[in-house]
Amino acid sequence: MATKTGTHPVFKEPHIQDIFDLMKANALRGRRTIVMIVIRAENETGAETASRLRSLVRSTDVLFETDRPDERGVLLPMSGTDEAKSFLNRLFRMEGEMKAAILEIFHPDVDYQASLRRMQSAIGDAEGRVTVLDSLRQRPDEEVKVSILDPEPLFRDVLGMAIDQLDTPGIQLKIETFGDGRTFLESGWTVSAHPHLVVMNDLLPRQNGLDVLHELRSLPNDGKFTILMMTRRNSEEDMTYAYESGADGFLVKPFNLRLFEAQIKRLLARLWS
Amino acid sequence: MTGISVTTVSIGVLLLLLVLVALTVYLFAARAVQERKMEKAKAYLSRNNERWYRVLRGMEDVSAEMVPKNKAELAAVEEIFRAYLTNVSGDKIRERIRAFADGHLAPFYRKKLKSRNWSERMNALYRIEDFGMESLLGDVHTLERKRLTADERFQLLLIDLQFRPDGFIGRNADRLGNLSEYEARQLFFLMPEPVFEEASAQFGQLDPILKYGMVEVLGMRQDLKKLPFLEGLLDSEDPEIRIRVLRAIDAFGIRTPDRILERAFDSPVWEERFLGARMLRRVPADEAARYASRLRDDPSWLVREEVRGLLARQREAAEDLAVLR
Repeated sequence: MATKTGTHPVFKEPHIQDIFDLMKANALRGRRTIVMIVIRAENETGAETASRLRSLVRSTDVLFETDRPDERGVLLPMSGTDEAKSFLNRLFRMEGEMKAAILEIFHPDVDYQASLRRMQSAIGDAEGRVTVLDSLRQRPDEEVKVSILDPEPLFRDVLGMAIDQLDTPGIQLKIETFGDGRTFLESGWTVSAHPHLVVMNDLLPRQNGLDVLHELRSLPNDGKFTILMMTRRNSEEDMTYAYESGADGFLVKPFNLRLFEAQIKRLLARLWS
Repeated sequence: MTGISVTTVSIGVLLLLLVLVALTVYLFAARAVQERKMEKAKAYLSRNNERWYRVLRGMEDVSAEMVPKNKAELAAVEEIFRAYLTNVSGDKIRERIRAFADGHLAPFYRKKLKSRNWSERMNALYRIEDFGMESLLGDVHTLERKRLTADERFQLLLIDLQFRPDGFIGRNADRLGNLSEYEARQLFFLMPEPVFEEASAQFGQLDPILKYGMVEVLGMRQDLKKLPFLEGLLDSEDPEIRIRVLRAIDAFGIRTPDRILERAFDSPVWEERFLGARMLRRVPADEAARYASRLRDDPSWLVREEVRGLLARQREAAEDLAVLR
């Protein structure tokens, strides 16, 4: 399965394909990316390259062999192109003639073999030391549910329109509005695995915002909820309590709509961090 | 035996029935009118809600269709504006509302200001303040000369404060004394900083109700820069002012300076000693115990109780600490 020299194993085919698929699925489930790096050092053996790499990789990184004896690869989980470039910078500080290609992976249909061929051919054609490959596929659109809870119907519409007009590439927003806490909790709208952004006033009829916050945070999959609270009371105590109860953001009414939009964009951006 | 004839009774019953029928018809008609008005308002909202969003955010200009044609549409526009004004700030939204109200809603409110109906006039005054309609200031001044209720007078003051803050206190000195305590508080709360400064410079000449309101608002604002001003007011001969000043200082949530505590404890007024005792909760335990010993035999039961509670809490805290160690 793997060549075990030192402490970090170097995986071979076909196992590396399974590991690649597993890491990819794991990363995409958490809305993260992984990076594949292929390094070619024509003046040294694969074992020597692997030995250099071993001194740089983290315990979660995966080393692998390709079908060329002068090549080794690394899979960096939960990382992007920038991390891969830093990794190569550290590697290139050592002596030796090396070339490398980087591919960031964030689409479920990306295949190990096809990626490897593209990277090998890119290394062969490249004049520079590092080639960053285009991912070819767009990041798949993520469906995000948005719930707006406020007792004032017109203000719910204002927030709905503000969110709806946001430029959120790669994210499909599905917006619903609710006038009270209980209707929201009983609507069934919360039941799904989609990321769910809840924009909620602290005071609501029937079941107030803080109650709803507690209920959402006590659900087993509460991590999917990003909760932004709104209040008319500008008190540090209330804010502290809301944050301690699991709110991700806090806005004091009246607030600037641009500030609101910036907060929403920031919270949505965190989904793909 | 004198009796009422059957004919008279029948006529009476008939008249009553007629009145009842007339009343029922009136109620149904009024209800129908109200429902029609609500439908018109709803139709306006569904036609223009999104458009208003774009207009108020500066994405497009107002179109003729958005100008209300009747009272129902005016109510819908008021509802939209209120939703923005109470929940959203900045981004020139308030200015856009002001411009539209001045340009297109003024005729409606001008008519309402002349109405004999008190609620219509009040409604107009509220909206003039909410929407900042400067174009109606002349009409508002005309109204000032008429006989008005206290609520209308207060609303006129708020409008004057919004549009002519310079010299507000001097101009309205004789009217401010008639305010209720709640109105005085509201007025000071809405006061821009320069007017507030002007009022505090004339504190000695203000009516007691205004003095109380100002001290209360200073406590709510929790502005530490005002502590020396409040401290100066502890020299006042009016015990009510001294009590409110101590309450305002307590609301600051700071460790009260010793000189203020000393003055509170030496006061012959039990409320001042009580507030001083309450402030001890933010004083280090050993110092608090020293002060508390002075109040242990206070003639007021409430002061003694406050001190007893404080000492008990400190004892519990010390015991908890000992367990942790």
